[in-house]
Amino acid sequence: MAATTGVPTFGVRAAVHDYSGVVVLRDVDFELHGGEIHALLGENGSGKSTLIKVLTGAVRPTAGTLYLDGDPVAFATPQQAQAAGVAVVHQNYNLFPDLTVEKTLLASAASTPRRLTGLGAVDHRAWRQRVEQLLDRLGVDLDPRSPVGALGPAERKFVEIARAMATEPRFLILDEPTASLEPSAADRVLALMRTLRTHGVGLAFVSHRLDEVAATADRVTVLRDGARVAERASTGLTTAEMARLMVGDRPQESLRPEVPTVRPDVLLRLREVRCVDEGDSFDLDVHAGEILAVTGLVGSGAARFVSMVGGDVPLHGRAEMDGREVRLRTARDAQAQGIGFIPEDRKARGLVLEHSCAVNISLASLGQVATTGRVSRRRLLRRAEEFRTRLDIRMPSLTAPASALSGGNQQKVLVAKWLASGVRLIAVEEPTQGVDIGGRAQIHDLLHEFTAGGGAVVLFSTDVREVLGLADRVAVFRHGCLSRVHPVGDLDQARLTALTAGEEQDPGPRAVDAAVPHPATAASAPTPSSRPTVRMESSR
Amino acid sequence: MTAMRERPVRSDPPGERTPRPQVRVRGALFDRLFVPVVLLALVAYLSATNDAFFSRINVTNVLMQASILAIVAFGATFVIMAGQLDLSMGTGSALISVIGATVMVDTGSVLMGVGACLLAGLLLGLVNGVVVTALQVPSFIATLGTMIICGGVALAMTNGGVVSGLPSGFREVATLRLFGLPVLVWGTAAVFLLLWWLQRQTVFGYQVLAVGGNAEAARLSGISLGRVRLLVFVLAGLATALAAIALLVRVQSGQPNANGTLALEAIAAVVVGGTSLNGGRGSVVRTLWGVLLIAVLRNGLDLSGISEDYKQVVLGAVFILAASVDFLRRRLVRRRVTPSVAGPALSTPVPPDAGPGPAVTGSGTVPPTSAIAPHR
Repeated sequence: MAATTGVPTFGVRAAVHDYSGVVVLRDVDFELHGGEIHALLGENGSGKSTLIKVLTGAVRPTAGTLYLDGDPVAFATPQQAQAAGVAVVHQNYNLFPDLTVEKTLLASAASTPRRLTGLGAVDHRAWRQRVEQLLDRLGVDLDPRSPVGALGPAERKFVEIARAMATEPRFLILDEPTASLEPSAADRVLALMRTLRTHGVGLAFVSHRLDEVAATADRVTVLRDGARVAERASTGLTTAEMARLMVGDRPQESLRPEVPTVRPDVLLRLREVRCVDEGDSFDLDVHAGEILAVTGLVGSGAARFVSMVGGDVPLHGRAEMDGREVRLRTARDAQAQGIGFIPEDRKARGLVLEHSCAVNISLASLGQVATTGRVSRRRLLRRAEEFRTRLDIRMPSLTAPASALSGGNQQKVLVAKWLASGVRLIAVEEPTQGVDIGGRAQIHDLLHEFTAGGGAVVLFSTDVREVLGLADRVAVFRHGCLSRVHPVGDLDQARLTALTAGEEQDPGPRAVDAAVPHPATAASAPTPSSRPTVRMESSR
Repeated sequence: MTAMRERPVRSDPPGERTPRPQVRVRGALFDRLFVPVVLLALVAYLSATNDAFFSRINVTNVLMQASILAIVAFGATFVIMAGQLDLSMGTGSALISVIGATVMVDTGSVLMGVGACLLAGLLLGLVNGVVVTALQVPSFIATLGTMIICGGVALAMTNGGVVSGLPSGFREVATLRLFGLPVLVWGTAAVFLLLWWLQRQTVFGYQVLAVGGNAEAARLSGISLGRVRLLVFVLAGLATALAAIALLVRVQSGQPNANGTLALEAIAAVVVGGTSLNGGRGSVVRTLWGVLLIAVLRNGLDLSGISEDYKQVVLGAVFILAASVDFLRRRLVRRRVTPSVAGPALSTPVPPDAGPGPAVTGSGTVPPTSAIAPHR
């Protein structure tokens, strides 16, 4: 219910939503007032994004009512939400790098100034004035004529916010506005949000950086497993309390029977690795028989590190496999060294969807089912059958296209692909994303089995529970660099969440393999790139 | 890099795990047999309405006419399966025929001429392949460039005239017959068998389909995209050379003006046969059906006495129709394969948090899930 009269309120009551039977929102209330910043917290999969979609008209909730100033409303489309005064800034950049700032805003403008003498063509001079006025009002220093692609990450976020504010909404919803930004850029975005607050706009935002939530938000709503577990003023709320609210008091799940021991033999020795261009370099060893989880926020370098190990992007630094210096520039290099890579987006990057499961399983090792370049179809199918049984891959037939499989079984095909090619190290991103619970356990078992046989797994995961349940050691990345490697026994969910979210760490007594930061050697002038890059703070 | 995103909370719909194998097989069979059935129907119609159709002379004629298109189309199949295009095969074959004829006339040696043709074809393929892989020029533009260059060089070499006066030994080859069919037809059949084997049986064939089907997955599986793409263009260049030799056999002279639209016709034949222009799906066998369909259709139009101008109109219309039929056919097959499952089930799962993706990256289109690959 609208709490106070006079203050604009927007919210949802008793929102319930499910995706094909899976409930992701359970009776969630959320209320936003004009002139406040309201943070929305929760672990991955807690329902934050769905709630935002409900609020902005991207999805219609299964049950529950939206209300605006006390009156019930319904948004069939984001456009309707926008017309009612609720705008959204998405997490990913939705910009056209080749357009200038003013053209970007023009492309989505509701009404544009026209020139009668120009047969109704856009009056670009008048439009530029309008854009300048808008940017002035936001207190943003941007040249309307500079192309978006040449802007820094924070400036691009400004453009997106300006675009949303061009419709003069009363409520602005931001999904992880600072996720891919370095701290100083994030501060500028947060400052802009505070400016908007003084204009009376009601802002809701999602963030995983708890320190910025504590510093910026007036109120905090915490979701856990699709339900609201807390809604309170942020004053007096510490980041540790927030982390505890997010993960709850559930008992530590122990997926592993015994306490892991890290074997001494190093399989892959990495030296002076650099994840971002101007970041610090670090050293890291991957031991045979271990699962090394790599985790961190967007832009922390964790995801990039794992794709470097897998050969997806060139490794900046030195690598030794079994004590021999090796080159890891391409996926072929990695494969030649016995490293396989399972990308996060398995449909777009992992599988050849139209092709049969059998072909996909042998894709990385066609040479092994061939003699002098001639593929034996019989051997191809026999090997696929072998892995189908061994990994319990549910497929309609060996020759059915990979697209016909469920997410978990597709992932198993990718694991089978690397097992078949005989790799010794698998770099894997988000192995159980989009996989149901049963499949998840099976994939975890497969990875354990692989390491029990002497293989090593470098796992990138943002799922805290998966990291703790699966890994022997956890490498936490922050600001483009390895922060510290923790034995999994030292961590629990709240602590790991706090570590990744940027809370200053105490040097744990049992921390092993600490990062050795090298002085930043080559740091030339930053070059603007078309992709969001993360730069290290200069002083650290 | 999308870290700290919400995991999709979606479980796979049960329909996905209980597919219907028989339906799928029937769909694939339908997909595979569609063109042959249409071809058969056309042959039946023509033989019923025209006595001349099944005459020995006419059948030989159809096969002779189809041979050059077939050789080029077989080569183009690999290029298209790898997700590329080669427009240079038409004027390329004209240029190579001029080169081959000139060498034969100058040296008097058939072998030297044939060798020159193959060398020129290899070179053309290498140039196309290097431009596409090393310079990262889209193959449409790269081969459009070499197409124009080849046409220009061919005319410059001959001042627009034909190169005639080939050695007598070469003339005899043209008239040679084996089991009642000209050597040219047997040669085409040999090319077909070779490329069919290459596609079905070799690691290279699988790699071509993988690169065309999902280049990123192929790259991450350790397949060298550059090598596969280069080889595909080299193969197309060699096919162009063989087509040039076939042209020399047929008309006994180097023809700078010949085959201007051959590359486009070959692409049409490949697509009519059912190979996907998006790459990753197709086969040389399908192209054989496509080529035969076009050849028989053209012959039927010849027999019916329609003027050459209108014949072009009909052929163009049939190409468009055939391509749209391919689309409809795949729609039909897809619907049959997944009768109960609505769109999202087999397409990319939309994670609840996905939002409208970044505008910079193209949205990943989901290829049709119709058939079993690689095709027979």
